[in-house]
Amino acid sequence: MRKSLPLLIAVAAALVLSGVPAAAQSTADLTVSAAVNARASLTLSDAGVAFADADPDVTANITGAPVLTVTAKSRTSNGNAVTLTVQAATALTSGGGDTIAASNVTWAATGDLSAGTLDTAAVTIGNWSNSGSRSGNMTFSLVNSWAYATGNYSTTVTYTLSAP
Amino acid sequence: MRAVALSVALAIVSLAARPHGQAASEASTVTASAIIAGLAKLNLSSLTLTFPDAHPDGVSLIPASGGPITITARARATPGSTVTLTVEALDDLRSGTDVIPASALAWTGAGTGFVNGTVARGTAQTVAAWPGSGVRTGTQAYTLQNSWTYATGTYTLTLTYTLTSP
Repeated sequence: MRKSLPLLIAVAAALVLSGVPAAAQSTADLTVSAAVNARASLTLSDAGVAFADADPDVTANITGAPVLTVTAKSRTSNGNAVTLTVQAATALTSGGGDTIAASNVTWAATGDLSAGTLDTAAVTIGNWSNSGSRSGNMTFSLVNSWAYATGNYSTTVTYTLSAP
Repeated sequence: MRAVALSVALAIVSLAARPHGQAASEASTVTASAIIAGLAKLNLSSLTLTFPDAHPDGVSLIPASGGPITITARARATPGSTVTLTVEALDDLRSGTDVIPASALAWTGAGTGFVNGTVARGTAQTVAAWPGSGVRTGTQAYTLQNSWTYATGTYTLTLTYTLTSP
């Protein structure tokens, strides 16, 4: 009679490599930072405006040429005011020392700019809030007069863009 | 009683009584099985992304300092399935109450399976996709759209990457 011997069976190799569910995910966070600093950029389309000679009986106000395009770009803190001013260094002065008051020069403005009268003190032509790009055209006029002495008159007009 | 020793190895021990004078053998089988489950591991070469200030007239798209981010995605997936990597912004870039839209951030992808894209607030965007299991590496080169309309400040945002292995 054949003895039946106990059959030794090794434990089946249920080798589990992973206990995670069939679908898996992995995440990672990336921290983004960006610096935005205050900046100001001012562009004038031309370096000069000229008034041609004209008969005061015919032309009471001489239109300057060319029309000046002004572009003012600025970055500032929210709520801050941005200003653009113009200021004549002196009255219009000839080589002979004769003068025409700066207040005889005026301008009409379009776009984001304001009309005004030239002065040796700063005159505001733009007053805005917050960051942005603003522009406009300035058409200058000179009051004509028989009282002017002959000569070539000039002055320097300084534009100042402020963005705190 | 004979003690029985069990082992984890794939071994079979079988004893059969051999009648006197006769050769005998016996065979048994064991089934070996292994469970391979889905697994996903994601690695980014950097966990920070920095954009310096730049003149908007000179630099319309600001590149991130430090160059592209290298991404390594390891995944085990169901055959025939698609492994996906996405990125999502839960908010816009913020500096106090000032905001730069998350959509100002875009990237150029390089590497097999990587695509270009633009960050979207509240919507996961695909960074890369691959068929089945494997280890994949690629890069993302981020840019930030520049503008004169941004208020000054230091803006921050967290982008969450998710690697999914079905």
